[in-house]
Amino acid sequence: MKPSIGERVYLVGVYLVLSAVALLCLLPLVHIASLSASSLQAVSAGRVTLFPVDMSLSAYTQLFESTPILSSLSNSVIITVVGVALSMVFTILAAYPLTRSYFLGRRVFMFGIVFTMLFNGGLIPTYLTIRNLELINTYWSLWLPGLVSVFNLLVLRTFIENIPGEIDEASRIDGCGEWRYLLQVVLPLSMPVLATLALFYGVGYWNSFFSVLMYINDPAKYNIAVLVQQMIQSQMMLAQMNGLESSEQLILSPEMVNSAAIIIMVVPMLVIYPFLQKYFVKGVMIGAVKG
Amino acid sequence: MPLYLMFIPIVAFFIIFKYVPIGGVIIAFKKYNLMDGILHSPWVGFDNFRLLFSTPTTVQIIRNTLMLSLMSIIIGFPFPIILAILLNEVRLMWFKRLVQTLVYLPHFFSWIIVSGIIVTIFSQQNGIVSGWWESITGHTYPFLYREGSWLAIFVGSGVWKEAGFSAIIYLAALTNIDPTLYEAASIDGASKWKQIRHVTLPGLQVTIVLMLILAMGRVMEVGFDQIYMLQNSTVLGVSEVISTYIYKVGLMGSQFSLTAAIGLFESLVALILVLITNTIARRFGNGLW
Amino acid sequence: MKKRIAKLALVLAGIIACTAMVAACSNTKEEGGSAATGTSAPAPNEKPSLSISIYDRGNVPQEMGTIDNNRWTKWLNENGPVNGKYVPIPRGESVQKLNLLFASGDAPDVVFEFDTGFRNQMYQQKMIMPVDELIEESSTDYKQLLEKYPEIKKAAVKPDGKMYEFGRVSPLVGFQSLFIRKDWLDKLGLQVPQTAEELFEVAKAFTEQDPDGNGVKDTFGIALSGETGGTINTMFRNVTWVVDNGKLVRGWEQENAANAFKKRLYDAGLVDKDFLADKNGQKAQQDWNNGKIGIFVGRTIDLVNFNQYYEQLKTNVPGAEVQAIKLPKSEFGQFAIGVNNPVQMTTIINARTKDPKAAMAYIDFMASRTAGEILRFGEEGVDSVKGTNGCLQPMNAEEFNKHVSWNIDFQLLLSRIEVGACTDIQSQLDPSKPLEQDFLRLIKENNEANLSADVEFAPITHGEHMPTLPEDLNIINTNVSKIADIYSKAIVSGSSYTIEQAYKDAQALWNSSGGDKLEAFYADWYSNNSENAFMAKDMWKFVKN
Repeated sequence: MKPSIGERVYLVGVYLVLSAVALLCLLPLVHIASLSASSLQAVSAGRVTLFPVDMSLSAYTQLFESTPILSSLSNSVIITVVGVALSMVFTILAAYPLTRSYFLGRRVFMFGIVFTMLFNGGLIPTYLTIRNLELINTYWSLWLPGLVSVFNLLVLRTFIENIPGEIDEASRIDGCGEWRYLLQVVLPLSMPVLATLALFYGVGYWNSFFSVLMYINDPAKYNIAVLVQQMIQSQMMLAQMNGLESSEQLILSPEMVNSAAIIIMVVPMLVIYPFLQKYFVKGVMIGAVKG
Repeated sequence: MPLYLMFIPIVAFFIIFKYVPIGGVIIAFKKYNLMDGILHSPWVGFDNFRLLFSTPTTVQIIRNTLMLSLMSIIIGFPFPIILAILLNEVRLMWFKRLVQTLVYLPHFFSWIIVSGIIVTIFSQQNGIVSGWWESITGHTYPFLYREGSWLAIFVGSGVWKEAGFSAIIYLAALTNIDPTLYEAASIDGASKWKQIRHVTLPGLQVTIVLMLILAMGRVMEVGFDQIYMLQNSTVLGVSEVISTYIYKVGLMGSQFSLTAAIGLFESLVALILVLITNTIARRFGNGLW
Repeated sequence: MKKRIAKLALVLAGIIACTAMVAACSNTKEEGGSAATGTSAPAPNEKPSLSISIYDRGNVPQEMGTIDNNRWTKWLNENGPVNGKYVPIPRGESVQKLNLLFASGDAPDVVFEFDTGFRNQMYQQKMIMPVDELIEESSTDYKQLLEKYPEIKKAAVKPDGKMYEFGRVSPLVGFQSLFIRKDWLDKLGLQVPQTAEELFEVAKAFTEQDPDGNGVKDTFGIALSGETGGTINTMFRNVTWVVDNGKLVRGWEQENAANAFKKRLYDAGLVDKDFLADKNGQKAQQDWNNGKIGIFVGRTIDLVNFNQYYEQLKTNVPGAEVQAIKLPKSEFGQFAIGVNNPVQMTTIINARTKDPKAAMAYIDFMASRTAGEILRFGEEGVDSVKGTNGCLQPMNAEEFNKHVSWNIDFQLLLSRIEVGACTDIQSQLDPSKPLEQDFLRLIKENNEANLSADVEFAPITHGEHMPTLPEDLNIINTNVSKIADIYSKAIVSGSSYTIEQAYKDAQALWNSSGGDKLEAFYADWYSNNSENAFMAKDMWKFVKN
């Protein structure tokens, strides 16, 4: 069937709008990349906008030579990979029972869980809890308190609930146990949402810096988000030091080095997303129902 | 029974890492000091709340917080959905993946960077938009210094930064829609618009409602960085919110009892909003519990 | 029945698994050790153990180790009196992190923190130790310093009359400096402005008469953002709290005058219209470096200022000539632009310290000249050599940066006034290089501008020596701090919102927020403490000749 003229116009419109939006989103990356690859002179004079001025990669060499960027990158990878694995397992374990109508007390549990999304004890009580479990200065202090995100849990629950009942019944007749049903039916059907959640968790762990600064005392265990944050912060400090507040000496890392660090931090996230997109396959569920 | 087994670690997790610390909110009713600790600091009843609400600025700040947040939610909410639907129409896979990846990019840039870009675009002296504006109208316009245009920039920058990231969840939801429904609709001669209305949107409904309820839960947390980096003296009348105010009072680091009091107040407002939205959602069979 | 038992066993297994997980986590954490208790392995050299906070700025080169374990911590442990265990405190979140450590009882024995508010809070909550007796009984170097400069005590004393803090002493020098483009003045046949009115006229000429000669009207007379805006406040003594007839009051008149001046500059188009969006003055500095601003406030306090404010300008505009001038007179007097804090409090001792004597010994060592010199210059013959001026100079700038210069946070007790002129910025500049010679001249000019006998320090004392407000007044203070924003709005609003209207609104806000309580607090503090607090006149005792 040939698309009508109206449909063609519509499709062209869709492509145009999306291209424009994508371009708009690309700008800051281009800007930062240009900053990172320009000379110090050009950057500090504010002459860099969308293209590198006096192209130079000295920011990157400086970054690799004078900061612990490699070890912080590998720390980031450890934190993220282990964190995502743990979080995914426990989020699934939390979401699945809550979708079963015969799981008694699920409304109470649901409310109890949502409640923790709205209320929190604040920094000190959380810190004391983690400390009393002797997790300070270990990555467990990052993984365990953030094990299950309520947001992600609710998303997963909603998706599992929407798995059509026919499948449910079909597999029950097969005599699937609860575990087998979860592993063999629910999870394969939930690949798109699982990929989404893995991404959400991954981004969260990758970007985490405040909890790292609070719960980790050993700088050798810092991740790249902390490194970048500390570099940017030295610039923020400058802003707060206006007036006569402090005669603290400043060590500013130049803006182009900061930019290079940001690029190094962001690129892995950019590379990983397209791989997850392949799990966004349409109609997985339908196939299962019919098959 | 295996269900309960599955659930035990989860309950343990929520008790140990969520409910035990939540007990710490009692410091909102105490005059917390480090010497005596959480349990032994003296009780002061509602003094902290009284101190907070006794100042004339508090009402304005709460109003601003709610206003900015609701504006961001109401205006910003449809964008990820639209983006997801548009992406769903694309047949060229490489194009789809490229666009999808690019729109998710701004999520990773901190507000300090984004605000720098915004100033470059909208500054009065030699901003890009101001340049266009001047060539059209003949005079410059202080986009960053008028409440109306500032609000537009505020909401717009939030949409720009997060829409692509939020769209992911809708893209995942779209995979659940039975493609045969589209085929059927297409055979019936339904227009694209009708297909979206009668197939796509109903398919997304559950997710949309969930996202709305969750957004209500965050209504009192307007991102600190976004506002702090964007605000300036002339627009404080609309842009001073709870988090920036706390920062300015210098509560961030130390005045734990006051911070806890503010936090408790925020949580209560969020709870009420979530309860209301959830009740409405339940009418349509989509409630959280 | 059997089935049920099996299920029960499974439940138990689940619980055990959970506990095992938590237990496993706790096992991994042995080496962390708790800080304040000081029970870690006995030092091989019999020195007492001490935990010490150290700012972590993430600027230690990778091959040098980490901030808590590197060449300098090793040197300090080898040569100092204690076996120090350093607790890194992220610089950006230092107050939060220290609060957590204090709340959990893990705070280090010796804590370095710049934030006066934090230290006062620790005092109020009795978390830190009074040190008069300790100094009396066991101090060596620091005691000498205290005897030599009794003003330190004024800065270290808390309301109960006891000393709680240790600090470092530096000579009083010009901090901010008012730079003007001398070549522009000459080109347009103008004189250095002596009064606020002349400053306005010069700024006007700098804007309108194309001083850079590129045929385009693209220059600004003066900046309004960042420190330049603050300096215009200083010119009119708009420093909030001023002495009037021996009483400390809020300076409304000064505030109106300063803002009216800024509004005139803005309305006449002599400044960047987007100064409000230029929060940290970065844009203004770029304009200065690109030769587009004629009058600008920079600094002459640190070696980085040379590149920051001068070298870059000279690279972009080789013909630029700069002069550091006195702050012009206003109807309120003539003032210093800005000076450093000569007595800066940096250090406190945890009240729960097991071994205060060890803490004191560490502080003495850190305040000693030997430690100070080696931390600042590195080891002679390894990192630095004596230069022509008799001061130690880096042998190789790059190597020095890698090995030494990131250790500044170990120097928070280093009294530069004692270590001598070699720590001044002047001795780090090379007079044989023309640009550095120029900057030496600027430093000299700026010290004269700030310290000459006919200028006065505008505030009653350096901000770090102002009293800390109690909680309720702190909230009032934050609420009334919006007054500055009200005035800023008036500056940019043309005729639709004048300074007079802003003044009215500001007063309304002041009154409705309880500003009178604030005023009473300050007036009271001043009348009781103007003699025994660390005031501007005390600062001026640290001028070095």
